[in-house]
This record gives sequence, C-alpha cells and structure tokens, in this order.
Amino acid sequence: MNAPRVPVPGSLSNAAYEQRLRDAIMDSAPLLNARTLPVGVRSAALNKALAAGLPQLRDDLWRYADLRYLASAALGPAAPAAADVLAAAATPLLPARLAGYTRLVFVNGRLLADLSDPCPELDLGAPPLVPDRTRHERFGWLNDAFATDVARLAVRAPLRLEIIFAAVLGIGRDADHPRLEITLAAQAGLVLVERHLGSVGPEGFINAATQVHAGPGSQVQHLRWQQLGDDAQFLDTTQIALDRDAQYAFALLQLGARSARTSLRASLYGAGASLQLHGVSVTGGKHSLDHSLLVDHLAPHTASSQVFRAIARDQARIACRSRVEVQAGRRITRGPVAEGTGRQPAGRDRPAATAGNPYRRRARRAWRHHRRAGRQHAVLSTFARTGPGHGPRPAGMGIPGRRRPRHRAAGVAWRRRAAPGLGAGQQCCPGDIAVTALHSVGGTAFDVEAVRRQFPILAQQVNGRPLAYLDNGASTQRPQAVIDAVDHYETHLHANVHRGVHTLSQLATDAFEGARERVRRFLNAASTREIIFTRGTTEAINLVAQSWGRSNLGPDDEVIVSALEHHANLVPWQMMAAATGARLRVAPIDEQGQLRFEAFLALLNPRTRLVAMTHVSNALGTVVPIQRVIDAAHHAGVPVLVDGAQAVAHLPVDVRALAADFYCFSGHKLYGPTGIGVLYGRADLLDAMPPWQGGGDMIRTVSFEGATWNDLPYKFEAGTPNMTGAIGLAAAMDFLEALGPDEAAAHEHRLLTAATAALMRIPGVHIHGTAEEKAAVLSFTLKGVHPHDLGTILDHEGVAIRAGHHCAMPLMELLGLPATARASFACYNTMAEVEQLDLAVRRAAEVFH
Amino acid sequence: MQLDELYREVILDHNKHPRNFGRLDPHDAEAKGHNPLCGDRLTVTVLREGDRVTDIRFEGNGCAISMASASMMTEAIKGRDRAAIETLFQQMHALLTGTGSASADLGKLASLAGVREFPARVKCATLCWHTLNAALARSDAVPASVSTE
Repeated sequence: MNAPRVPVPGSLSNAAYEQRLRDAIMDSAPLLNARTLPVGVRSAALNKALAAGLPQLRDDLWRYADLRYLASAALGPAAPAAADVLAAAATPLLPARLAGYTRLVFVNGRLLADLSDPCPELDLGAPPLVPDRTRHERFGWLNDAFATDVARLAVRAPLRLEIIFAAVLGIGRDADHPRLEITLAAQAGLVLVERHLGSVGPEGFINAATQVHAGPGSQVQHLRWQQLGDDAQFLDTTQIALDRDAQYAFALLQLGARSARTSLRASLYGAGASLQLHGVSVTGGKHSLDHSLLVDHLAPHTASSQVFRAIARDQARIACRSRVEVQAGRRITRGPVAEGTGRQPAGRDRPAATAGNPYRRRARRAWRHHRRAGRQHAVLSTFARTGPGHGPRPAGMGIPGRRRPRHRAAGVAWRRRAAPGLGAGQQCCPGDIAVTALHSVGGTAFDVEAVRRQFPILAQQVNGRPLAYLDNGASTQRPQAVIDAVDHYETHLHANVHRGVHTLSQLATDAFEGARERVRRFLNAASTREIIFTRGTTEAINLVAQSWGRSNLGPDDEVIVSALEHHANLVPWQMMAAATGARLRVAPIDEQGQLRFEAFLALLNPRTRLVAMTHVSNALGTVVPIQRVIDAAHHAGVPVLVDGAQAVAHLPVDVRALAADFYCFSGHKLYGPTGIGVLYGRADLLDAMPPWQGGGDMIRTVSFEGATWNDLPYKFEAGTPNMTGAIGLAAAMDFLEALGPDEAAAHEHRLLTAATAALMRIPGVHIHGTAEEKAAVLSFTLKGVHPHDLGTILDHEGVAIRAGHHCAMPLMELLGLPATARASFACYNTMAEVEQLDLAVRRAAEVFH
Repeated sequence: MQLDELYREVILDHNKHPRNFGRLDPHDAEAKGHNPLCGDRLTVTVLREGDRVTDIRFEGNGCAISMASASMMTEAIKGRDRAAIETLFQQMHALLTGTGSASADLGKLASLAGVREFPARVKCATLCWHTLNAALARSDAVPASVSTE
C-alpha cells in the first residue's frame, strides 16, 4: 500500500487514523514473515489499537506529545527489501564497534546476519513475551501487530550486547517497528547498548516496543541511544518487570527527532528490586519530546529513582511526567514525590486495590498504618516541562495553577533547578537550558550512624576488632532511651503497683499502666484490657496453651502449627496435647522455606480448634503470609495465635487489621529489656478463659473457701508484675516509632540483600531459606566447616552470630542440617558490618581450606 | 589468643580425615553422645578383651573440635585398659579446663590445649570422652547414652 500523503503538519481524526490502520492491516498480512509474533497476537493487538483510537488532548498522559505528523506517516510494517539492499543502505550509518560487545544489526525490522555477530542468546523462535498493555500503550499494540524480526533474547550468563536498530526508510514503506524482548534468568547479567539510528525522511515513523523481564537477582545496565535525525517521529513503548532483587539501570539518551514520545512502565514485583532511570534529552527548533513514566512498586523493599535532564533550544518543548505507585509494603526507599501534584482528586491517591491482586489486603492494611502515621504517599506523581513560557522557578514553587502537595514522602523530591547562572525565578525562555528534573535525597534518609550513637553497647571491641553484632534474632541491644527510662523508673518512681495509697505507688502504677497503653497503641488493640504483660513470648504462648487450651481442647481435637515453629510454639502445645488427648498437625514448607499454603488449607478440618503459627521464622527469616492464614482459619471458624517474636521489630503489626485472636511477642527482640513480653488476646476470648496462675493482682476477693477473679488484664497477671520491664518496653516502642519502622525495615532489607549477595559469592556457602518475603535473617552453612566452628572464627573477627539449631530442631531435621550459622540484622547494623561478615566467612573458609 | 592455636593443623587434619570412623559390628559396647547446645552427635562402639579396649570406632557429626577430639581419642586409647583410659581422661579434662598442663602421655591429644581459651567449646572436646565412659561403664552391648548438658 502506498500510504496517502497528507501535507505536514496536518491533523488526523480518529476516523482517518482508524481507516489508515485498517488499510495497513489489509496490506500487512502477506508482508509478515514466520519470525514475527503469532497471527493471533497480531490481530488481537490490531483490534485493540483500533478500539483505543488516537490519543486525545484530554488524555492526561498524552497532552504533551505531538502526534500531528502521524498523519503523514505510514503506519504499517516496513516493506520487504532484499537483505543486501538493506545492508548497503545501512552500512555507512553503522558506528564503530564496541570492543567486547556482541553486535546485532536490525535494519527496517530485519535481522541482517551478515552485519551481526553470532549470538546464542538470540532465539527468534522462542515464544514471545505477550505484553499486557493499557490504553495509553496503544502504539505498543501497533508494534505487536507490525513488528517483523524480533530481537528476542534469553540471557542466562553475563552478556554484553550492542543492538543497532537502523531505519533506512525511503527504500520501501516509511515505517519501522523495532522490537526487543529480553528475558533474564536468575542472577543473569546484561549490559545492553541499544542504538536507534538511521536516515529517516519527513514521513518516517519509528514505533519501537521493548519488553524486559528480569529474573531474581539479575542485573541490567541498559543504554538506549536515539539519534534518528531531525525529521524522525519516534514512538516507544517500554515495559520492564523486575523480580526479587533484580537491579535495572536504564539510561536514555535522546538527540533530536521532530517528535518523540517515550512511554515506560516498570513493575517492581519482587521484593528488593530496584530501578534507576536516567534520561538526557536534547532538541531544538520546534521539536517536541515527551516522556511518560509509570513505576509500580508492587512488592515491599523496592526502590526506584529517576533523574531526567532536558535541554530545549529555540521553540522546542520537552515534557516529563512520572507517576510512582506503591501498592504493597509501601516501603519506598527512593522515589519521587509530588511537586506540583494535584492531579489526583482528594481521596483518589489510595493504593490500587483491585480484586485478584495478591497484595490488596496488605496494601490496605499498610495504607491504614500510613494514615495513622500521617503519611500519604501511595501515589506520587510529578510533572516537569520546558519550552516557551516554562522557565525554571524556584524549587518548591510548583507549577502555576496546581496546588502544592500536602505531604512530602520520605526519600526524594523532584526539583526543578535553575540553569547555571540563572537566579531563582528568572525566566530563560525561549532559552537554551530549561528544565532539569533530578532527585535529591531528602532529610529523612536513614542515618545509621545517628542510630548507632543511641546504642552505647555497640561502641566496643571484641577480640581486638570492632563489634559487629549480628545476633539480633536472639536479642537486640537497648538504645539509651530505654536504659534511661528504666533508670528513671528505678531512681524515682518505683513502688509496688495497684496496691498502695501512697504517692510513689500511684506514680509507679501510672507509669506501668501508661506502658500498657503504649503497647495497646503499638499493636492498635481495641483496649488495654487485651494487653497482658508476660515474661516473654514463651510465657505468653504457655498462658494460652494452659488456659485456653485446657478449657477448649479435648481428645482428637487438632492444633495446627507450621514446620517453621520455634520450640516455644511447639512444646506448650505438645504438653497440652499430652494432657488433653489433642493432636498437633504440622503445616509443611517448601524448599525455599515458605509455608505451603494449600497444604495448610488441607489441614483445616472440623476437628481443628486452633492455628498457632509464627509470623516470621527465627531460623530462616521467612515472613509467613499470616493475614491469609488468619483469613482461612477464620473462614473455618478457627481462632489463630500468632508468634510475633521475630516480627514486631521489623514489620508493622496491627492486630485489629490482622484480626489476630492472640498475638505474642517479647520485649528484648524489640530493643526493650528481657523478662517482659506481651500477650494480646481478643477480650471475649480472654474473658472466657480461666486464670492460669494464682496469686496477687489476679484476684478480686479471696476467702479460705475460694476466690473470685479480677478483671482483664489483671486476671492473667498473678504476682507483682515486671514494672521495670514494661516501662523499658514502652520506651523501646517510642524509640522504634521515632526511628520510623518502615525506614528501619528498608535499611535492614538492604543489609540482608547485600549480605546475601556477598555470601553467595563465597564458594561453598549455602543460604538456607530463600523465601520471597524475608525478614532480615540470613541462615547459611559453609561446606566443610561446622557452624559452631564458623561461630568461633567469626567471633574472633568481632562478628557475633548465632550458630546452632535456633530452637527449631524439628525444622533443622526437616532441612537435614544439624545446625546453621545465622546472621540477623537490626536497625543499627551497617554495610561495613556486612563487609566484616563477608571477610570473616572468607577467613573461616581459609582456615579450613 | 590466636585462632590457629585452637585450629591447629593436626586438629584440622583429624576433622577432615577422622581416624577409626565408622561402626564396629559386632561390638561389646556402644554409647551415643549428644551435645544439645550445638547439635553434635556421636556414637562410639567398642570391642573389649577383658579390661582392655582392643578396637574402637566412632561415627556422627559435629564441629571440628569434637570430630578431631574423638578421632584422636580413638587412636590414643586403643589397646589400653580401663584404668589407663580413666587416667588419660582425667589428664585430658585437666588440660581442657585449664587445671593441668599437657603431660607426655597425652601425645597428640595435647594439641587440643587451645580449647581451654574458648570455654564455650570445652564440651565439644569432652563429648567423645563422656560417650566412651558411658560405653565402658556397661557390661553388655545395650547402647548407653550421654548428654553433655
């Protein structure tokens, strides 16, 4: 088909566009060869492109793109041409070879084998990555329909690759639909230089599409260099999906083009994934460049940053619009915040909560958590543009007509910065340098050195080396605030509580009950009646086993635990089972150390009386999907006890959002003192339970014939309580809240990721527990070195870790291990300590060669 | 205290290539030892002629100290009678707890002297001796068991 030539610039109605597409479809079928996408994909894509029509000015994401020239472009696939004709036309354009890179050359969508290196990773016959596109990615559909040879790569080993997409339009039809599909296997690495160049006439139209799926732990450095000349129209649709701990650095260099538009959508769906976007755009004349970026943080501990710089001369316009969504875990460690937002109507900037989204519930819960904390950064959108009338303004002034953001997210702010030599507020248009959008780390970045200064115990040496305390899973250290609170109580306030009429007793009672209220707030419990102080998690679980268990369990009743349990959540139930004839059922785990949820569901039956499960595994670090467990159990009418000992310091816990029936934890794993812990129990359950220990405080009246019980929570607190511990625990909760639990957790996760990567590089190291979602616990073994020896050698290097079975002997037996070494991180640990751990493990490997 | 005083070459060698490793079948006595702290497990099997140990083997897994200690113990006591073994154990115990010094009798066993600087590891070195004692204390082949905690 010879595309009808419409004078430039023209306007294109939706009807005309549709007609052009239809013509292209009719024409294209015979032109597409066997190496393209399947016919089904192509026709479905065309139908979708047709249905979506042309972007309208009212489409927010398209209003700065200049599509007038589309009217004059051919939209269908490039006309077939003999390979030697294409090669002859392209050869003068090809840049010098990059040393050490495999080169692939595509001309007008055709792979030219003569100009390309052999590349085993290139697999034209592999199944295509069929993308899921939104209406705004309609030109991606066009590419799905018209792409010819697809640069389809499966990367497993480190690879340096240069892909050249040359357009020599004018030989045949004036359109090119280059397409790049990359799949990276776990731990794969890719350095990719993608160059778009060519000789493109005024009717030339390049419509590129890129899909990248980066597997767990893979790393990509991707440079896209667009240099197609001043006449080119360049459209690009890029989708990036990042699995766990994948790292993607994308740099975009855009030189010229009459009209260019980049649509980029990144999904960070694996915990620990990170994305860096950098862009430089330079143009002049009356040209127009537009970027539309969407970064979706689907998993916790994901990070993204964006820096775009634009240089627009003459009457040129450059716009950059970015939107960052945080749907789960919402631990944005870096990401742009709204500056001049206001596009979101109030209340709209909630996390997307669509049915079928596995993160929906967590997103909602986390949202509530953030609302309470006064933060709202579920959706961050930002916009910057330059061009006539859009000179830089002082940072923070925002864009006229848009209201200032109400909240500034932790981490990063987009700033519009004046060009060098220009004062704030000075106009520079139509000038040469206009908008620079960059990120800067805000004041809320996690300052680990400031945190460390609050922990006096850390400033010491062990065996002549600085202490690297990595045994936080066993017990955390106390900040000065906790030490001071305990000291103040003992120096000024101590007396017995709930007894004396004297002043000091009243002061002590106030302090103690104040601590109970602090714990209630920490857990978001409904009432302090539901907060029972115990000696620790172990005692809390024993309390429930002895009191609730004794009155609710009978012969053949079942209690479900998981294979991950600490002895403290096994033995009390075994004891109670022996006493009542009840049975213990164990929900299995998979080889990554994750609860096999289906198998757990299968264990629920009419005999099930209770599910007692850990929130975070102390031995492997697995975060159990406790919300799903609770929902499923409640669906079956079964209450749930959660062992939160390892969770409270690292995850937000909201017992009402979780709908947990019992939640137990210890103070000393939460930067508080030992000998204090908490049992949260739903008031109606606690009310119905008999006391388990008799003595002071738990009675209302006593005669020699009997006694009546006190109200909650005192019914379960026999004897003088641990006031010092409770007050220290409250201070620890204050400390954690002031620190920012999310920032601390993100910091710990960075340490975990770094330590995991470091240890995996040591020959013979095996990591145990590779769950998708992990708390900062790293269990490992070194081949030929018993964990106990490892512990001694690491201690010699100043590194304190745990070696042993971690009070989870059944789990160790299941894993076939006598013991493991375990490094566990807290808010005060540093990257230097991770390095110290790495070196110490290497030293151990050396000692035992 | 240097690390190489604990992990001497001879200890690392016995850990990597334990002597008399395995199980004697038939045997006159057997005992299992367990250190619940670090999960070390040992089984000792013994052949006796009267009061004298004519052959001994051990199997199990544990840290380098416990493996090397067991390996060296089996070499040291083979052919000795009960009283001589008891004397050796006393000397060993004194050496490990720092109340005695290495005597010539100990031979290679003296290389474990470094353990006394690491109190947490003393039990690793004595586990095999306690297990052997438990085995020898029995007159029949019924397995005995011992735990060091």
